[in-house]
Amino acid sequence: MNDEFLTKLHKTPRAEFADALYERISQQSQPRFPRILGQRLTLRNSAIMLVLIFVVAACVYAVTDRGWRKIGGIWVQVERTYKVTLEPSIPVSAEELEAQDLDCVTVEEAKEILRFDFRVPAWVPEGFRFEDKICGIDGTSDFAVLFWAGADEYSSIQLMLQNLEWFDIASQEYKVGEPTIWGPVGQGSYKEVQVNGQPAVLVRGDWDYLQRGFAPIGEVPQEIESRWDSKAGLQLHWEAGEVMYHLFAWQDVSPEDLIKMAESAR
Amino acid sequence: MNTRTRILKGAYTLAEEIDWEAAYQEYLPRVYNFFCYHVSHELLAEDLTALTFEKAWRGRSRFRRDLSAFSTWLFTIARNVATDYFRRKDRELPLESVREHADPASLEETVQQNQDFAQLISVLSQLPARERELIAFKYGAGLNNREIARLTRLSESNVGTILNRTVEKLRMQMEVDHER
Repeated sequence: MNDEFLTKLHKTPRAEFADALYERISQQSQPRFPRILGQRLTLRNSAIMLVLIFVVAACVYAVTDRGWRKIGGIWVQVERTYKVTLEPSIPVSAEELEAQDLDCVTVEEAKEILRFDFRVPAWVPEGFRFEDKICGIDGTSDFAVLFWAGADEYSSIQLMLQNLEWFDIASQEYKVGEPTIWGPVGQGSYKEVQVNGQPAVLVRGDWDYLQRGFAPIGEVPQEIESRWDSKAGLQLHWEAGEVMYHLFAWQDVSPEDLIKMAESAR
Repeated sequence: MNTRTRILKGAYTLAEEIDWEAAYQEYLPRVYNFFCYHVSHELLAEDLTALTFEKAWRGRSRFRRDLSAFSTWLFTIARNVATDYFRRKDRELPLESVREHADPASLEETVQQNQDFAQLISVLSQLPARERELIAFKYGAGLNNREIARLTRLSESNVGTILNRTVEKLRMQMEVDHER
């Protein structure tokens, strides 16, 4: 292939640009907890978008009467209420949805891209269909979301994978964050269970802001005080291989089935 | 476990993971030329190169040598930066626009010194996005077909076929332009 004309024309970056860039990035420190809150919300809402066909961004913060419990080695944050700021919905065009789809890869492809390994449940309750795609990730992502669609748009199972490993720039060592469940939960909603003989936390319910909808398109953000709805689905949280697994089921799934599904991820 | 963190067995140090200075020296020209070939605009290529290295620097703790080569990791970031640019801005400055915005003195100097390069980026800017990206990976970044296939999720043979066809198309266009 006569391609010399393409290789002989390389440009050398300007020295002042190269030096200034190196100096700038060398002075940047690395976040010790890289974007945990932001990525959590973005990915979670991205998954919700798949169900509800619109994009939301919710900023959540807890009220002051918080309390931490350690259940089977897993940290659980318990709250009575939960203050949530609901951002207005963002209208999404078909072109934008299609463009976002381009960022999705299969699970096998994701395993090559992500820097943490994970297992996918081999068994799911009857009536749920696995969507073999993971969206919005790259080699720097510490989160990924798997999705099983149910009989209707309100019935689904979602598995959020969270890499617990992070690099501590101060000590120059890789560390692993303590296993912690996904966000605060309501009082009396949690209990310790076993997943393949290892401790896990089963949570009944979810905060009711998901059922209360989102601020209409174009309106200002709304702050609401969300209450715990003990009938709003199930959650199961466990750690395996320095990856935190957060399994959420909305409707039509029993605790036994959720644990069985978790145990099939070997 | 009582402590809030626990240290991985056999943890790598940063120095063992990435020799940042050496990586910067080696990859800055390659990333920069990747963007030059991809967006056909040298100043914009600087901006996107800077963005790529800033993202890589911030996320350097997440790179693991046992999962991918550093070049694959870095050019995955570069590709995402390019994709974001084209998607969000939905624009690519054609050569004519560059000329309109460049100051006359530097333009004259650039044209005199790099007439062939100006001709090349003009021709490149007319390519479809996928072909331009493959050319940028191959001749701007200096990646081989296997690395490009991994980044773009095309088969290696497909990459080779597209590149052959595109290079021939570029060469013919360059000859036509040269004869004018």
